Amino acid sequence: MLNYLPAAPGVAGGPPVEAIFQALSDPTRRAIVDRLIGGPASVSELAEPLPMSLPAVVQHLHVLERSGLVSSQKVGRVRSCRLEPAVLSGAERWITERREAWEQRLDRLGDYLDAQTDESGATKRS
Amino acid sequence: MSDRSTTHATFTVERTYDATPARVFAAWADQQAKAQWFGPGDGHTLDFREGGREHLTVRAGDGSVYTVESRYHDIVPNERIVHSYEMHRDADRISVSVATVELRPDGERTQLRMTEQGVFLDGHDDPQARERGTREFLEALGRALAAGAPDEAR
Repeated sequence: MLNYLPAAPGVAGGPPVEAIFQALSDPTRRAIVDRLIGGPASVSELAEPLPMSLPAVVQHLHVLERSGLVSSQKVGRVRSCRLEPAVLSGAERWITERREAWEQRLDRLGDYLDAQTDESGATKRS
Repeated sequence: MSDRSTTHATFTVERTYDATPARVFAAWADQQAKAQWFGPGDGHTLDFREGGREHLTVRAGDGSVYTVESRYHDIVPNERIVHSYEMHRDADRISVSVATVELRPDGERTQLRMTEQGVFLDGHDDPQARERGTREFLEALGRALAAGAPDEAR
């Protein structure tokens, strides 16, 4: 199979998929995202279970915000963070589902073409 | 759902087949041939010519009905097919896309490149489905990272 570099599906106008991927490559940031799936949370709520200083958590949040996965808003004296589901479940899912559908279809096309010929030869798809 | 949204995306899928471009092209051009590989459907009509239309209905396991309405814009035999399509889930239009299929001979074989450019509309799914999708995405991503992604993975 050829590579399907996530570079191709630029989510036009949005963050590149690489940035999302990179943001989620860190276990702390995955823990933060996992927490935010349950709903918005303040920075201190996010920091509380994490074994690190508040500034370190804020650094991680910056990475997540740059990726577009998370947005934050200051409400009074509290900064509230939320997941941007459109980034995760909209763009990613759309691309992933549609691409998988095409991959399966085009594999079936290969099977169909193979079945058409009687030659029992080596069949290769890349 | 009240929120309107648009998400634009482009992706490409490539395959190489042990068949001539003419045979690969024929698998797209003939309704009976295409029905054999394109996918399960509960109804499929194909009028394969420039300006012609294609209609596909698929009943999903959850009872919803997906319909795909395509129109063929550009057909170069054995080389290129450009069509656009819109997809509905029940009454909701969920996406509008342009799909380009390009065939290139490669010795005895044929390289196929499928490029889809589309807009995904309104994220038509309920919050639970959304959350489930998000979790699944994260889990899949975790597996991908664990299975030998570059250094930063862990």
